[in-house]
Amino acid sequence: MLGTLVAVGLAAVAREWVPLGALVTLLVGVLGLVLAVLRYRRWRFELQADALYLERGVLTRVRTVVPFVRVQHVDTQRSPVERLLGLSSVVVYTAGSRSADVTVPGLTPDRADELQARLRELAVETDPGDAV
Amino acid sequence: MSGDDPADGPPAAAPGAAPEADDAGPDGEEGSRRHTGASGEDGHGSSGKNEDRGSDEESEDHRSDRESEDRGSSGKSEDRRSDRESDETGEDGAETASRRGVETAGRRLHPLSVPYRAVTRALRPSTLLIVVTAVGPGSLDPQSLTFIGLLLAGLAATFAYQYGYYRRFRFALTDDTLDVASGVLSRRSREIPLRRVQNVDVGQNPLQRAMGIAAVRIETAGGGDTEAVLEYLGREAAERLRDDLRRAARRARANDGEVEVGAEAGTADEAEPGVDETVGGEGESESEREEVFALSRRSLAVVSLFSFDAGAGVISSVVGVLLSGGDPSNLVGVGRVLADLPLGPVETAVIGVAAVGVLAWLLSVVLTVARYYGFRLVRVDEGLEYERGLVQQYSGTIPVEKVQTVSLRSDLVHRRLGYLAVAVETAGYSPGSERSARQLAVPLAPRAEALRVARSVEPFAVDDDEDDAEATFGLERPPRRARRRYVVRFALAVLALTGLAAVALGLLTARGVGPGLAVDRRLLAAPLAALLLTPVAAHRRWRSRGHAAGPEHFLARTGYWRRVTRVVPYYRVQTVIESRTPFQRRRRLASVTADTASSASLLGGEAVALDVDVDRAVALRERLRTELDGAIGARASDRERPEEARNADGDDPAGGQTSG
Repeated sequence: MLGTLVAVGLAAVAREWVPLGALVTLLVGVLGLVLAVLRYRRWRFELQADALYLERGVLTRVRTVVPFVRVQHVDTQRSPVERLLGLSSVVVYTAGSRSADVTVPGLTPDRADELQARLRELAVETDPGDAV
Repeated sequence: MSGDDPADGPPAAAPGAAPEADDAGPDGEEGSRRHTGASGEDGHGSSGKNEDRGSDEESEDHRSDRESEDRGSSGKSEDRRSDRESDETGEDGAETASRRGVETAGRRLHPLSVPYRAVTRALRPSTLLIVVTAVGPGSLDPQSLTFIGLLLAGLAATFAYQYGYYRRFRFALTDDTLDVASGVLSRRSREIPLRRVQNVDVGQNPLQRAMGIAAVRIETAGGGDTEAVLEYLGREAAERLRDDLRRAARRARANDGEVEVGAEAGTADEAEPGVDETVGGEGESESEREEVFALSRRSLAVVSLFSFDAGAGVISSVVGVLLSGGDPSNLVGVGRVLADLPLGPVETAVIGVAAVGVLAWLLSVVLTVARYYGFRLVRVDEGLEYERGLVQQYSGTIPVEKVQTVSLRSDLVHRRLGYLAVAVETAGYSPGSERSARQLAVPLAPRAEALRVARSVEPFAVDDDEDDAEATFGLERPPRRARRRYVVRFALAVLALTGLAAVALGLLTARGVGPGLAVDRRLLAAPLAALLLTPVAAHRRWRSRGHAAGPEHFLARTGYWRRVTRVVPYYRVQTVIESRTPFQRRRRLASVTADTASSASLLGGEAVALDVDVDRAVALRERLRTELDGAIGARASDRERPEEARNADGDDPAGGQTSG
């Protein structure tokens, strides 16, 4: 993918400068779109018996296990763009340093609320008494 | 004892605080609280009026002072939480009465804190900025009367304010709280429940040491921040307060049933005759102090000679640049003297840079010696306490109950000499607080000794020869194909660098600046040699990496030049992350990260098992998950068994490892 980009870019350089910008913009746009689709297709989350399990990543595949015992609180967030698209995300906070990693994006608001409530329930059920 | 400390009140008062607190039970209600160390019980002065929130000015004062203190040892965060206490204030009559007592009858700071605070405040950057602005162009003439008058007035005001601060600042240790009343314009009074006191630090910089004063900082478990700062007490008084507070905190916790007064905890509570630093507490238990580690001369020499202090590097470079005016060939005398010799500019420059290097190294040795001189690690009751420093003495507490990760560190040279350093990473209790810190428990010690200390903090399994410098703790190396990956990586890096260098040379030659390509054929030898070395480097890296899932701990090791083995107890793992980059996927490899609350810190770093076989990685991920649940479950169902006792158990090796 990157190879084609470079090749096309070089070809553009050989000819003229002006179309290059447009081309690169277009390419980046297309790439972004492809990435977004791939990312969407890769994204999985699952409420397992004792943990929230996430799978994501197009190039680097990341699987995250967040045990319910570790959940400190759960937010639903809606950024302006998300509001525009009628989407919502759920952010799960732990005391760990990778807190920000644990986000479930692109849910419908109802589903997000539901997930939040469910997570909260599960987190309370398994309260360890010691968060850290 | 307290001869140098006029602010201390009656000499017997402070140690006397403890016996009275001895039988304080959970039933010790607010009303029955007695003030100790006070000259008069609950004096009914006129000053006990409004308990309003602490002024910003107040906390700002504290903060800037903390900045000037040893940051490394205490790892304070900047933001100061707003007073929780003030919400609870003045709810019932008894409480108000007791507060009034503190405000009038509590103990005071050391009188020398007035001039010290005033001068340090006056020299604060913000103040200086105001002065500079005032003197700046179009403003006051520095020699004009107005200016001098203003300056003097400002100084006088500062002194007056600090005197007021001193007058108003009172503190008292009661049966179950430490009460602090302070504030000049707006008053604040604060009650710190002793059972929540986690950490008491006494800090002194050289000037403060000369003046015989010290700052006492108190941290609690509830939040991630310093709960109270007493600036400044006489050194003796400060240390006594620290000991009293610690003891009282333990007792309060014990009485709360939070700590089981069992084996370890109990013995410390009984009278301990002959423990050092007995400050005349009749029949009162002294803190149990047991030296865990002391830095030997030899270890100090090794750590000073063979490590490099980053600060020394920065200072030397700055000095070098200043002296040379940016031209390395001018560097210091050496460069100048050699300029007369038949040496080219390049050689002179090289020698100049080398001179700076030597300077940096010498400076580093001095700084390191000054930093670690007299390093001692002492187990005081349930916590660890360290002292160190030659010029400026530091002491601090390592909150053992907040340990997230123990890391074993060794540079290549240290390792070859059989030495090891131990750092302990801790985290604040409150969610989201960034107060994780890394503290050195052992700056450097022979391997076996270092391991002993590390395992007294976290009793992880060591199932091989402790004296073997390459000892593996039963670590599993990445599969051999990972090594091929490293060869390819290193080779690609060498080729890329060579390519860049070639392009740069080509460009320079094209412009007629460079020395010409013909001369530089020889230089090709360098990348060739580097290419030949890649298998060696890859092998080294491969050998350095490894992970192990022990009975109670996850271990991950990485680094050849600077090897770090991180030991994470399962019950500290927050999330488990398994990731595979495209390159890892090509060779069926994955990395597994055990994220803890401390790995966010800049110094911390995460415990990552790098380049594990995919199937093993999945197994490891699941293992971590189940172990984590098991460990937490065991801890939760076992709440009577205190963390402190568990940690104390750590002294006996692998035997005491069954969870709970």
